[in-house]
Amino acid sequence: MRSKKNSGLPLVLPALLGFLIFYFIPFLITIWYSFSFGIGAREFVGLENYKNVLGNDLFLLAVRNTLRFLMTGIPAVLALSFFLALLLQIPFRGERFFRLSFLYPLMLPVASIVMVVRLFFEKNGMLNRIFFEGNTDWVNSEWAFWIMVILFLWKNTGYHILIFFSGLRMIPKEYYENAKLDGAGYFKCFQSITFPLMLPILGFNFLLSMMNSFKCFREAFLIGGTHPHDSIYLLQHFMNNNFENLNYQRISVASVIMFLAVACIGILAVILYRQGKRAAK
Amino acid sequence: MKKRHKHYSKLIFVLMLFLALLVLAPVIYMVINSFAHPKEVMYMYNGEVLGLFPQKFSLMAYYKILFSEPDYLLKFWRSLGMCLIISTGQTLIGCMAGVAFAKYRFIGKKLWLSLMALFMLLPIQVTLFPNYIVLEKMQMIDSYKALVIPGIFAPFGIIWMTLIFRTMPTEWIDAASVDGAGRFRTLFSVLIPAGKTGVVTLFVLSFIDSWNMVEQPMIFIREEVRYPLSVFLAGMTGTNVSLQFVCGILSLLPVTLLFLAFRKELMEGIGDSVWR
Repeated sequence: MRSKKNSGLPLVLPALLGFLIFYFIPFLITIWYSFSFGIGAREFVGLENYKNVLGNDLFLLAVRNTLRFLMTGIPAVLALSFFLALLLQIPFRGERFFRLSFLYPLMLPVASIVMVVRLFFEKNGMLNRIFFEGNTDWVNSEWAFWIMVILFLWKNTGYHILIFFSGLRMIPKEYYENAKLDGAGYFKCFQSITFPLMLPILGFNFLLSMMNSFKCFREAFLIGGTHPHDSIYLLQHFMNNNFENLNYQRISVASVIMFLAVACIGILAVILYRQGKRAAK
Repeated sequence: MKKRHKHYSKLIFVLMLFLALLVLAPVIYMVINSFAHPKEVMYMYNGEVLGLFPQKFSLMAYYKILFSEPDYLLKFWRSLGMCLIISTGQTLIGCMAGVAFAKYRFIGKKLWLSLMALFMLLPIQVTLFPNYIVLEKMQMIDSYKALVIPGIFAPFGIIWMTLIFRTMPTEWIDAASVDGAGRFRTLFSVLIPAGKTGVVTLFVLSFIDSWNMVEQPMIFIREEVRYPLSVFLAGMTGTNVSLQFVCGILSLLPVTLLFLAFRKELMEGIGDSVWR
């Protein structure tokens, strides 16, 4: 029965229909929207919308900030979690408890944390009142960007630690013992055993952290509202503001551009991941 | 050599303890302040009293939220119901489609799988507008349906379950089918129990994801009164600070309980996800 043609169709049908109706087909419509203009009857306008968006200062600001955020947040979270996972390999009491408490922030709704962050960093917040006696509105300054990076690290480090951790556990102990017999020190071991073997996992974590970093728009959004400080004006703000103006062309162009960017990075990462895995074997 | 090792582990223990405290600080802060009298919190925040933590213990803020201002609680139950529907739906759809992708045959299987994997990687911002087009056509904008239905069909659950079912021996299905079990029967009484860790992890992950949704409500829901708890909270500034703390605790409660109940499955489920 299993090997019959279309034997899986009844099982997969609801999922396929849902995917087609809510994701795939409307995405095709979005692509069409990005190349056309008009209300009611849409007309093909070629790359006109793309020119418009790519020449838009706010869009460029959003792209710049988003890239800056990705290029700060992703390396930071990977380095930090790799380092902590290495430390957690050394046996000591309560290692499980620490892994758990680092994972806990992943569960928490952003809004509740942002609430605390705001109470803390606002103009009248605790930070100013107790520690600085200043008047800086941290949330509405250059610092907003760094607050976001810290929130990103706070939320995601534990998740990546778990993955690195179980990866490190899979490296056979004999490798290290043999290396030690050959007189290799800790750093030599790391350089020629741990790091190369962990490369595929690093790739996997990279993909995951990229996915998660896009979720960070939430923090930015909840911290700064629809019109935040320039340093955290991200693509999500651009889209939301255009939803308000009902400027569908712009939103669809932004969607398509983001799609292309993510698809390219994703495919590249998958290729690297496969190569790394092969090399490890 | 052995001694040095011991020395290190003490140092690392202290470092880890410090980090764990830092990580848990916002939650601890919220818990402690939620047990303060609203008046004391007010004094703390308008500068009459200097301090991070209250002096006296009080359940006043809880009393207010639970008994005298039912709006908050209503929001809580509604959001909870919505998230349970989404995560149950996503797990169910994920299991059904997952086994079909992993073990059965149908037209265009490979194509569908790679499309869904691609869509899974996409940030929510890309699919937000496509979702919006359909929801508007179906006149679901401004209702909870707009948040629930696309959530159920998110490709993440399908890919997750496909990877899990792939690791299971195909003979199980053949054996079950010899015993006369149909496809659905096999799925529910053989495969899902065998993949319990993965299924539970998926349920929890999709619950926390929907409990945390921000982008969708801001666009699909026009009236701010109808925002679920996850958006509503951050907009509470200006209102009574001590009620904010209690609402914060309310929003932490379901996910914390889930986390504590399924911590083993979660740690395994996430750690194992590398090897698939």
